[in-house]
Amino acid sequence: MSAIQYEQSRVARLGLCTVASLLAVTSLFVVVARAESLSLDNRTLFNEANQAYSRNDFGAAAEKYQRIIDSGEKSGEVLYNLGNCHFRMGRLGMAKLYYERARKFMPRDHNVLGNIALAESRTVDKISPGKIAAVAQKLCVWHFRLTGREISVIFLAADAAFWVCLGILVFVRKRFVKTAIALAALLLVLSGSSYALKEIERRGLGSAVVIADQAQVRTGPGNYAITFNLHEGAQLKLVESRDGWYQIHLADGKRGWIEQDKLERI
Amino acid sequence: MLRIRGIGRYSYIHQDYHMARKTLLSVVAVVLLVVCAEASAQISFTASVDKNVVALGDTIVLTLTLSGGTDLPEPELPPLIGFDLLGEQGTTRSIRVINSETTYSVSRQYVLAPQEEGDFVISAATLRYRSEVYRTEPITVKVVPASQLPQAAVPSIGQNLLATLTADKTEVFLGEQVNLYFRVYAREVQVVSEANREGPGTEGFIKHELSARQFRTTRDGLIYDVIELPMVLFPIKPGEMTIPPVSLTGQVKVPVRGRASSSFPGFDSFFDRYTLQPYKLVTDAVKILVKPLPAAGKPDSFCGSVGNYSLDVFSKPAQLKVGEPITLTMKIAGSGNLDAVSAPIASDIQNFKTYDPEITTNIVEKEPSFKGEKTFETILVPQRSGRQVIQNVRFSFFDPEKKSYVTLAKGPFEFNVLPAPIEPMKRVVEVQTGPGKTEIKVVGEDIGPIFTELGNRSRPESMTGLAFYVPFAAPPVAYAVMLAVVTRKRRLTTDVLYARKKRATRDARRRLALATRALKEGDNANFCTEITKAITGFVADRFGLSSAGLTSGDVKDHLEAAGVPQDLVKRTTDLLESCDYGRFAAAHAHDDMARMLNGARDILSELQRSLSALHVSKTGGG
Repeated sequence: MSAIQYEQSRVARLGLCTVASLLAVTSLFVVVARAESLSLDNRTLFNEANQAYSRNDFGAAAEKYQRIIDSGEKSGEVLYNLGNCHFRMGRLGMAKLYYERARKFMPRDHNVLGNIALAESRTVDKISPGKIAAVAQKLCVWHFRLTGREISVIFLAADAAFWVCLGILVFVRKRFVKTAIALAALLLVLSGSSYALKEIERRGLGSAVVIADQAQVRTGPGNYAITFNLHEGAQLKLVESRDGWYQIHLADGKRGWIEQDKLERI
Repeated sequence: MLRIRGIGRYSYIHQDYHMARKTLLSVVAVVLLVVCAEASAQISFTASVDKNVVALGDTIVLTLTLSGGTDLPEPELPPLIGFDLLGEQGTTRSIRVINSETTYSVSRQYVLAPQEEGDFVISAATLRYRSEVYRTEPITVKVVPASQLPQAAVPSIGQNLLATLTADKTEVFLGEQVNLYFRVYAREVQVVSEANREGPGTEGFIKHELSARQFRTTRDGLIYDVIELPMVLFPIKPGEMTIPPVSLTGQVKVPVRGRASSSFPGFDSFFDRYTLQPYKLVTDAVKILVKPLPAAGKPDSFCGSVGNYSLDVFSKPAQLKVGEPITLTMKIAGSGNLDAVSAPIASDIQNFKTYDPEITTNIVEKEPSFKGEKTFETILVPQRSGRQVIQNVRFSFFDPEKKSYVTLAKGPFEFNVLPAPIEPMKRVVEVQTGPGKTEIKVVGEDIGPIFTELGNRSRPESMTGLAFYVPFAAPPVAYAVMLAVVTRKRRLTTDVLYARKKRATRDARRRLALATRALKEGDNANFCTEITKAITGFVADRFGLSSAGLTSGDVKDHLEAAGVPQDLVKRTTDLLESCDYGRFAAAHAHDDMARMLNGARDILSELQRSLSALHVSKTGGG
C-alpha cells in the first residue's frame, strides 16, 4: 500500500467516523424526545376516572381527569377522555376545547379527529375556511398531522442527513449521493418552514374555543356595536389581547372583539 | 165544514199558544235581564245644577240622578235654604247597555228660585234603598244681582273649560306605583280633538301612558264632560320630585245663542250652532316625595322588586337522564312594576347547567295598580347522575303597604337523574353496491370510546433551547472540521514542497534530538553533523532545495534573498562554520557543544518565526 493510498484510507475512515457520530447524536435526541409515562399516582387516578366513566358518572370522571391535568402531567389520552366527559355532560364548548388540546398530542388519532368532527357538526356556527386556507391545509398536511416535537425531530434529522450527505460527497462523488443531498435539502426546507410556523403559533396567542352559550362579537374592545354572535364550540384565532378582550379572527375572514371570559385558549 | 172550522179553530188556538209562549219567554227574559242587572248594578246618586252663578229673579234647575236599580225610591230633597221650590220640571228615564252590562238611571229635575243675593248651599239630598243611605255632595250656588250677570251671546270659556293634574299619592317608596291623572273638564263647550299638549315631564320616573277615556262627572255641583289621560309612574330615584305643569292649547266649539232661527231649523242647527274659540289651559305642578327603601332587613335575594307578589314554582320531569333538560317554571303574580321584577334565585344548582330563562309578562290591569304575572321558564340540564336536589327557589320584594321586605321560598325540588345512555359510535362505511346488495346506512352517531391505556407521554411543543440548537449546529460544524482536515491531508499527500515545508521544523527538531544524544555520548563529530543537518535540512525544506551539498554560503544566500535579518543570517552561518570546524578540525569542549546546541535551537526557532512572518507579509502584500 502506497503512502497516498494509506492516507486516503485514513481520510475515509475519518469521514465514516464523523457520519456515524452525527447519526448517533441525532438518534440520541430522537430518543430523548420520547418521554416517560404518567406517575404512579396519576395512573391510579386515570384508572379510577375510567371506571367512573364506565359507570356513566361523568362528573366524577371529569373531576379525576382534571386532577391529573392540574398536577402538570399532561397526556393526550387524559385530555381526550376529559373531552368525552364534557361531551356526555352536554358541555359542547369544553368538549371541543379538550379534544383540540388532545389533538396537539395525538394529531393523527382517528378517535380524536372523529370526535372533533362530531363536535363541530353539533356547533351552531358553521365557519368555513377560506379557499387559500383550505388548499394550504391539503398541501401542507404534514404540518397539521405532526406534533411540534415530531417536526422538530424531522427537522434535526434532515439537518443531519443533509450535512452527512455533503460529507459523503467529499469521498464519494456519485450521482445517488447528490440526489440524497437534494432530497435532504428539500426535507430540511419543508420541515424548517413547519418548525418556524409552529414556533410562531406557539409564541402567539394561538386559538380558542367559545365556552359560553353565546358570545357577542363587537367592533371594538368595550361598549362597541355588536356585529355578530358566536355560540358554544365555535373555534377562532386570537390576534390581540387588550383590557379583558380578545381581538379574534375567524377562518372565514370575519374579525371582531370578544370578552375573554367567554373563551378558553386551546 | 165543521171539520174545516175545527181545523181553523185549532189553528187559532195554536197561534194563541205560540203568542202566549213568546210573550212569556219575553217576560222571563226581561225579568232575568233585570234580575241580572239588579245583581250586578251599583247604586249611584248624584246632584247637579245647571249653573252655580245665578241672577236674582232667575231660576236654576237642580237635577238628582239615580242609577243602578229599577225599583229605586223617590229621593228626599234637602231643606232648601235661600231657594224656593217652584216645582218638578220632569223625570227622565234611561237604560244604557255597555258590554252586556245594563244600567238604569232616573233623573229628576226641580226648578228653584233664589230668594236673595249671597252664597247658598244646597245640602245633600238623601236616598234610602235596601237599608242603605246614599247622599249627594252639597252644592254652593252664588246668587248675584241681575245687572252683574254677563249677558253674552256666547258663553265664556272661563269656568266651562279647565284642566287638572293630580296624583293619587304624594308620598311613595322607590319603585312604588303612582297614578297621575291629567283631566280636561268641559261644560257647555266641546273640546276639538286636535289639541297640543306639553307635558307632563316625568324625569325620575318610568312612565306608562294609558289610553284616554271620557266620562261625565259633577264638579262643584256642575256636570262636566271629562277627558282623562291616566299615567302610571314608577319612581326610579329617591327625593322630592316635582312633576311640572301640563299645558294644553287648542280650540273649543262654543254654541251660539240668541240667533234668529232659520226658516229651516234643521239646517240652522246643523251648520250655525257653534263657533270655534282658541284656549290655553295650564295645570298646577304635582309634588311627590319618593322615599328610599329601608336598608334594615334587606334580604340577600332582594333584587329591587317592589310591590306585592306571590310565587309559584314547578318543575318537570322529576326523573330523567344526565344531559336531558328540566323545565323549571317560576311564576310571580301580583301587583307592582312587573317589568322590573327579576328572576327568583335557585340554590344548589352547581350540578346543573343552566340556560337564560324565557320570560313572559302578562299584565292584566294597569290601574289603579299594575297587576299580572311574570313567568320565568328556565332549562336546567343535570350534569351528574343520582339524586339531585334544588333546596329552594327564593324571591324577595319590598311591600310598600307593610313597609317591610318579604321573602317567598318554594322547594325543595328533587330529581332522580339516571346515567346517560351510551349510543353506538357512528361508523361510516362505504360499500360498493352490487346486484342484490344495498348500501349500509348510518343509523346513529356518537363520540369515540375513551382511552383505557396510556401511551408514551411526549410533549407536543417544538424543541427549543440547547436541546435543539446543539444538534442543529453540530452537523455543519463537524462537516467544516472534517472538510478542513481532509483538505490538509490531501495536500500533504499531493504537494511535496508543501509537505516538506510542513515537515521542516519537525525534522529539524528530530536532528536536534539526535545531537542532544551525541552530546551526552560525547560524540563530537556526530554532534556537529546533526546540528549541521538540522539547520541545512530546515533551510532546504523551507526553500524546496536539496539538502545534499548545501553549504553555509548557499544557506546565507537563500536566507538573505528571503529577507531574513542579517544578524540571524550571520549567527546561522557562524554556527554552520563552527560545526564544520568541529567536524573536520578540533573537537569542541562539552560546554561549547551545549552552547552550540542551545544556539541551534534558538536559531531554528527564530528562523521559523522569521520565515513565517516573511511568508505572511509576502502573501498579505501579494
